[in-house]
Amino acid sequence: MKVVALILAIRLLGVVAPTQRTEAPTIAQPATQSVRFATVDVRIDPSNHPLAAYQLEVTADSASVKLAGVEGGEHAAFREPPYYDAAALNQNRIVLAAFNTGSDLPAKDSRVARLHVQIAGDANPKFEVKLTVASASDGSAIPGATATASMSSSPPASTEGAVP
Amino acid sequence: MPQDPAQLDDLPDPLAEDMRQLYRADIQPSPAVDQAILNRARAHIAGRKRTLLLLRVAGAAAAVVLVTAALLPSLHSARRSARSPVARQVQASDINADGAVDIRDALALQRAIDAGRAAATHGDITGDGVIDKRDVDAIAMSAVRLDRGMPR
Repeated sequence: MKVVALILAIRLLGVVAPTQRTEAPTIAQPATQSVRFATVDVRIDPSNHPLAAYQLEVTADSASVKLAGVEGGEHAAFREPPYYDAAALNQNRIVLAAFNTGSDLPAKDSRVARLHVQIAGDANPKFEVKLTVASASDGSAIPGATATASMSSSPPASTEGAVP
Repeated sequence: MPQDPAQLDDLPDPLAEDMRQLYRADIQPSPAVDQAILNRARAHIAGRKRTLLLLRVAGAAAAVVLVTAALLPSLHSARRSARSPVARQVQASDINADGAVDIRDALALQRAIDAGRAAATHGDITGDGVIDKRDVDAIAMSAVRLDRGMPR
């Protein structure tokens, strides 16, 4: 008798469950927020001075932006991912820093890092860059160095930061 | 002298006049007594002023003591934190001694290591007795921390 009851219960669940599965998306749909991923290129122009070290802070103006990952730059000197605080992931602010003691250093504008970000909703965030260090091999500041951050998957929205 | 001056009216006028002259209270204090009374009055007033002044000074002193007692624990903790391991580490991380810890300190230490001058620095950040890439990484990580200035 118990076996029959169990079989009946399973059959009933089998009949009811598909109905629930088809209805669930229509109920949950309004609460779901679209999420997209984008990359943000962080570039430094050391104004014709070999760049040996940099440190900068990137901040998104929207809390709907969350950092998902950090990639290195395009020049061999900064191809490795820069130093950053892992606590910055899932936040909209990050401090990046890297150095190279070699002699092959970028002197022209180049991408020093790429951020992977997750954007919730239809936000079109802007990224602010604060360049705190742009240094030559001897540790001296590079005058006139500037940094930019631009998002690749939507119309670029960037601001520029310069060494104070 | 009779207590009631009306009693003199019963006397003959010359006698009454003599009695009045005899018992007239025409007291002229000497200048010395006058000055003594004045001095005592001045001393009394000055004493009151001194008491008020003392009260004000005592109140101010009490306020100073209370404020000091309130600030002393925070001053003490600030001094203690300045000597904390974190503070010492931050100080040690400032390789180029410019008052700030940033990526340039990591660069300076790496260059010192490459040049064999690491021993001349105070760059043993990890405290393992060796100055190497781990110390460089520790300085760089300290530079990029989001909660800089706060011990972890």
